[in-house]
Amino acid sequence: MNRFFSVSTMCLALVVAGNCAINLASAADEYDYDLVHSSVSFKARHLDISWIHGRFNQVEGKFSLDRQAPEKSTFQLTIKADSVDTANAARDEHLRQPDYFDSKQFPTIEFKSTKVKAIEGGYEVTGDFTMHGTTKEVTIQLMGGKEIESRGTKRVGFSTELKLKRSDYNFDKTQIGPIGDEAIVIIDCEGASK
Amino acid sequence: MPDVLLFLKAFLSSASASTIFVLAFAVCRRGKVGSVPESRLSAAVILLSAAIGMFVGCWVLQVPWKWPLVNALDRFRELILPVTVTVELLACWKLIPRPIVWTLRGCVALAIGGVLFYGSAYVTRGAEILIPWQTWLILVITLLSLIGVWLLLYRLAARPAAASIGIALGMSLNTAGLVIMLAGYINGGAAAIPLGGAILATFVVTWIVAGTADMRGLISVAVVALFSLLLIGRFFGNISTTQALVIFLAPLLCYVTVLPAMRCLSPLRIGMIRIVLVSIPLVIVLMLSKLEFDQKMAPLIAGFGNRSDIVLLP
Repeated sequence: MNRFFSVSTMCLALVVAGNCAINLASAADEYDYDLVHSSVSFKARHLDISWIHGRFNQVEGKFSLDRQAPEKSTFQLTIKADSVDTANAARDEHLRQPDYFDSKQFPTIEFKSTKVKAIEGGYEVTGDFTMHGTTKEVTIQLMGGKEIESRGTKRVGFSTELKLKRSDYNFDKTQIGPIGDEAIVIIDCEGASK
Repeated sequence: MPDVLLFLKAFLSSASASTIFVLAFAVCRRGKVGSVPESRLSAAVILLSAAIGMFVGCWVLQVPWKWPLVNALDRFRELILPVTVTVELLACWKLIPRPIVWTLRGCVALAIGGVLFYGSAYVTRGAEILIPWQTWLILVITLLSLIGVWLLLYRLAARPAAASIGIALGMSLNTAGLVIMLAGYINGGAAAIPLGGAILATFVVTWIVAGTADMRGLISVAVVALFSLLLIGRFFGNISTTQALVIFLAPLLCYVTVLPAMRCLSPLRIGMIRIVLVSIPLVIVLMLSKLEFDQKMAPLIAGFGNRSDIVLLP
């Protein structure tokens, strides 16, 4: 009988320890990209004297944030290239065509983190950025990360800017002229926990 | 930025290269025309002349040769076109049985839609623009239309003034290029320039120096090129289904000349009638495309002194 109890106690202890371990391992909070309170916009030089601004209206993403072990955090963003919006329908139509985003051939622009490091005021995230069928490793400084609870939903926000050259992503070089090669992508995103 | 001068240079270069090649062959083989082997050789030379013209035109346009082939235009230029030319060159070789030639042509026709749509949002799961049955329906309808037009023009090319069918196809190719460009896909439209130049020149010169030569091989290449470009323009660029259909079906107006009243006309007259008939819908489509271009792009060009500056904006 005693032996039975000691074995049972040991089993119970093992189960409890296992649960604790699982809880520790999954300490990361999962967030979904909140389209209503986020934006992915961009700007590029026009004739090297002014800026053209635009945004992408359809974006999806999720990120998991592990505050104890930031290196275990992950960030993922998928932008629908077709949703480009520069406040001019004719220009947007032109941008969707194969001379630019080629949105039928390359429907999405994606970012997937591969390495995360905590820095002061946020995270340094390295990941694969895929646009126009070309993937390049980029490092961005995601500033923010403050979490609040609003109406029962945990929310966290980040901001970042990413400079990239269209020519690095296999965009047609003959279409790089008056519109500068370099574009600045500005991401302000809010995540809501499930 | 579309460089009109460069486009003109590419067109003239491709046309000149093809013309020189056809003329050089005609001079070399003078007096030997008529025999069956000579006819097969002529057919091969006609194909090669056009291929050389296309290559020269692309070189002048500084078309980058890409590998891997990332988009539909690359796959058309570096896969579909060379394969079609090769199949038609094989068809000129008497050792290849006809059923094999027709099987190869069938394979080309079957493959075009899939090759052009490969990896795109039309066939990639998760990125659906269309639901799968819609994509299949499009592929089947376009395939049937390609086979129909191809067979009809191939059959008509066995009659007198075959070169005029080729000229009609060359005109359609050039119109397709311009319409695709006016709809905003500049590189897509530019791809038609060397093809249109080479095909037009080859048919015109061949008509002049050897009107009875077998031109069906190049007619096949022209049909495939026209079909592929219009498919790209419609599904990757921004041309409408109506524009694509009118341009693709316009060469079928050549069939008007098989009407009993016209059969007795001379080949030259038949050819001229065909060219005039085909050019009517093409000119109308081109004019409407220009009007649409002016309408859509007007807000973009406002404030710019030069109309060519619209390219300053996407």
